[in-house]
Amino acid sequence: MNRRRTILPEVLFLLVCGTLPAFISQLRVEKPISRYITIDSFRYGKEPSVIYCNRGDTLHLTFRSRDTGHSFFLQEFDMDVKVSPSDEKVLQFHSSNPQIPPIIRDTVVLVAEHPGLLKYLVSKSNFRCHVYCGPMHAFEQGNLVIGPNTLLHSGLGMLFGLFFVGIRRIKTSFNSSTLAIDFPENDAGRDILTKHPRIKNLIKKNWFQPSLMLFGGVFLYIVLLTTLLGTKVSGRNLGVMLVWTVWLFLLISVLTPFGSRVWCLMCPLPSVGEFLQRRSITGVRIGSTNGYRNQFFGLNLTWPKWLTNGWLRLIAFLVAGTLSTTFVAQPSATGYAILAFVVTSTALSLIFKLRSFCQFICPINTFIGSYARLGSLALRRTSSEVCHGCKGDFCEKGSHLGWPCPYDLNVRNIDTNIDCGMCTECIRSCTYDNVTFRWRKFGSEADIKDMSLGWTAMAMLVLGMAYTIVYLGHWSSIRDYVNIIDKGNWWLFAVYAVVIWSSVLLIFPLLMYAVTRISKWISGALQSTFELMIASTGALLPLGLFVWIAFSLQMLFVNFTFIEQSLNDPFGWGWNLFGLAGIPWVQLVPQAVPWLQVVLVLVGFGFSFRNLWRIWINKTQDGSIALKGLLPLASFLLIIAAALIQFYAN
Amino acid sequence: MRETRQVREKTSKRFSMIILLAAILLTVGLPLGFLQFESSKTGKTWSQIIDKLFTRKGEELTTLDAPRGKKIDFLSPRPIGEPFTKPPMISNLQAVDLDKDGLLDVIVCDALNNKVTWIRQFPAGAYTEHALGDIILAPSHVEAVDFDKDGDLDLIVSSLGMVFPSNDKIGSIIILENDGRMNFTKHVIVDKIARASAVTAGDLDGDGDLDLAAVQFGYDDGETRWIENLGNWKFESHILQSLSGGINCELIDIDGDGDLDIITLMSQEWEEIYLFLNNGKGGFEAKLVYGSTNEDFGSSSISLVDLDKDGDIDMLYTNGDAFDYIPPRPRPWHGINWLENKGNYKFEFHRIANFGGAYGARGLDVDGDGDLDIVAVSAFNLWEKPTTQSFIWLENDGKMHFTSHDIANNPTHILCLSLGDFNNDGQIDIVTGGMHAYPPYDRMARVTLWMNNWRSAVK
Repeated sequence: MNRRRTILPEVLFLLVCGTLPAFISQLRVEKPISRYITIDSFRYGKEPSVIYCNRGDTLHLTFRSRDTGHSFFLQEFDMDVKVSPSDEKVLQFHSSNPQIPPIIRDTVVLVAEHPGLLKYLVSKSNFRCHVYCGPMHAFEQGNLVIGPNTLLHSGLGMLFGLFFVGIRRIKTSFNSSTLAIDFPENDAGRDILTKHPRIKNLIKKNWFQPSLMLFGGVFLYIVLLTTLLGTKVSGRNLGVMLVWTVWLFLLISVLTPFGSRVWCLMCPLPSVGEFLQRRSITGVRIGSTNGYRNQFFGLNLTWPKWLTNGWLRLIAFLVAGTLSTTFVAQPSATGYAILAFVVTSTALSLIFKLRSFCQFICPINTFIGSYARLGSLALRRTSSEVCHGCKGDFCEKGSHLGWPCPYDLNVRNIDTNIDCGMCTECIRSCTYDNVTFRWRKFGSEADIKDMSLGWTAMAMLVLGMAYTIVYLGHWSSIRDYVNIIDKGNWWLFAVYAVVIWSSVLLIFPLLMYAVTRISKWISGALQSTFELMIASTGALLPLGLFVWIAFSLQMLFVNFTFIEQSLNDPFGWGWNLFGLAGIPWVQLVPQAVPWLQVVLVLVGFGFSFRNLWRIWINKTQDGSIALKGLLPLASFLLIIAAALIQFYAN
Repeated sequence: MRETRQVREKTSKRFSMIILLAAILLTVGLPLGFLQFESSKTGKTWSQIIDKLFTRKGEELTTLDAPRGKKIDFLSPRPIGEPFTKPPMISNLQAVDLDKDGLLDVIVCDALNNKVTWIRQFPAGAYTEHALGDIILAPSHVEAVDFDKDGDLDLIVSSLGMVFPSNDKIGSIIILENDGRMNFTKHVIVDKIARASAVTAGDLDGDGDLDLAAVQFGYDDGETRWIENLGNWKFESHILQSLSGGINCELIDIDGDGDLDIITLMSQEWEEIYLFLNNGKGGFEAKLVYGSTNEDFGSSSISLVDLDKDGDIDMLYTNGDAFDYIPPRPRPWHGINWLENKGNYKFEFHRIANFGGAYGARGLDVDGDGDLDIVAVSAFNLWEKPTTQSFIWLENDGKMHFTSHDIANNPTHILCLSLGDFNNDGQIDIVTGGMHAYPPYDRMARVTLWMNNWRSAVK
């Protein structure tokens, strides 16, 4: 009851913060005017790339092409205007039904107003190109922004409202006996497997994980076949669509936030190497290798100690991230990259013990390892007492029931989701039956102690924002920097790589350090600035994850038709498996996408703010110091979130 | 305890076997399944599919160019038809005496103005252009044929819907029915299909009326179909293949069994020529008769002709399509090729000459020495270089060795050509169409008639 009493005014306050600026902005509607705009299309952009106008304005659009055929595809206004390089006349098709004969005209007239209630809600629309004009064609886009911008005002209002609610909560907690926000340690989570013994029995079957890996392997095999042998048109290649749209979305938006590192349970990349190491698929080979109770094959060397941190993984992620455009635009590049992962993983399994590739190199692990800390699912001991009484360390060393932990962990010490790949081997190998899955609140882990993990948290946020700008932004010149595919801009690409790498490794960390320095100076915290900074990077994780979700969501919604088409014709060889050949391309609810993205930023900011408080109260153990220290860093987060809302809404 | 372990080990072994078998079955079965499905869809053999997948940039790159001969000014160009103010986009034309007045006319697909026009020659040497029928969006191919067998020539037209790439189903096949007084009624035979790039008429099911065979370029989704004439302007489509990039469709009785077979040219990344063997009743069996190992080969046209005059039909095959390069540029492997019919549906590839942006070629005895020479045009050459040729001829020495001769560097961007004796002087003239979709726009022409003066030129 008390909690409800606290929350209700906060919700009302947030609603006021969200609606009041939007309402005021509606009162300032300007008188509609006519605007005459010539839109220049080129590979890969539009000029102007953003059209600002007011609701009710009449836009008289004429078109030009600098190089080849393009189109001005504006789904919200049911138009797809085809533009030819040598002709000012355009063909205006209906985007909802291209089969309706087009109208040939010199000027396209558009009244900038959405129907019904949507005219108050939808301000930003994305115009794109719907005539294939080159490998980067999918990124040729711009924005139509119709004022007054309800979403922008509302989003920013809510953001500042969240900030003040957070501060107020903290301050209120000083006057009460309870802490403002639960500590992560208090949320061990619900024990799933004890409650559901059937699930536990299923997991304990030796075939459980290999079966999932087989499923993952089939997925991977289809991706390899289609990317290496199928069409070079990315949008029509099933492998590209499966990896960069479906899998990426599921991994970022579903598997990691809910299942933490559950992807690793079915990831096929280490499977071949592991089977070779064990010379067994489901069986447990008893023996003695390197102090383990099971027999392994291969050299079983120990991974160099100086590389047992997150740096190598971060570098691998940066390399993969820098080349991401090539992977997306060239199906074979995706195929060869995956093949390289499988080969490297297998080779390392024969040289080093356990899953060294997954532990120290895998770039996917860089992402999910970081964000798994927020995930709800966690593999933990059932009882700490039983664990402490265990002398056999069966989870770590193996037993006749199961193999040792492939990540070299002891369940007794697992308090974070970073390192555990949730392979479930320990559930089998523990002779005390003392390992379980727990379901905890989202975002339970906050603090970061390791420098490489702190850098990774910063890198994830920066890269999430960078991809958002490069791929979802309207700035065509930025995309030129990553276009090595058909424009061969190698020098620009080098500049892009330097900017990305230096932003991730140097500039953002310096900024974070500077803000933390101010926090320390204001609060008088006793810890070193560096220690506080690394700890505070944990607060970047929720916002970072939600930025990635916002990014992958738009990619999924824009490319949904291509997923259907590529399932219909996986190799792009002219198959028509489900009769979907030639279905018109439509985006899923484009009007809703900016709203969803702004909501995601708000939620991410909320969790980041909460975790920042947790981190500082944990570190300083003093509410007043923590609050003072929190303010500069929270303001920093606020600026980032505001910039993101500005980007998504405007 | 020991018994439990034994049971566990036994179960484990069983599951290991199941998983291993499943993995092997999937590893081997999936690709084999894909191969068989592709084979059944396209008529390719497994080895043809595998060759295509694993061979890159093959024999076409290593072929030699033809030697160059001197220029002989035997063609006098003159523009015919309407003047233009915007860069013209003529996608196809045919020399034909449409009104049967004894003077050859030209029917034209004008993709800029979205219409099919008739450039009528009347009186002799005077040309007037008339639009036929309503708007047809981006007409891509026109053929005059007496489709309804009423004694006049009707027009069969394919429509892309738009010139530039699109996967939308905006194509159509249209017949413009001639009432005998040169009034044309539009019959939409099929619409809302992938962009249609060529159509031709012939009796494909042996029932005495004319049916149609068509290819639809589409973009990623294209088709090859034959359209059965059910009579009374009713038609039924039969899909033969679902490949994109179809640009040519020709009918010929290749196996001499008395029915018409279909030959299609697929560009895009396929670069293949298919033969659809007719069983006489409209049942077709697909065979791949040629496939380039270079997926960027740029197939642009085929023309059926007995080039070596050995009694069977060969193919003149150009590769010079550069629509997908920005800006469109010639490629070193562009040129004119001869696919020699070796019998039993085998065609042997011969490179005749390199020619950047080659888009059309016809066999023609230019020099009257009894063998067939070749005239060829280019749509995508190095136009910035003033001497770059858009029109050449290749002189045959009678032993199928060719010498290249320049004809013209102006106009540029010539996409199509057709042959005919326009002045009834016994010498075959040539009419060409310009597709100026890309710059430079300094040497443009819409429809050009090249009058053949060989006899006077070589005197």
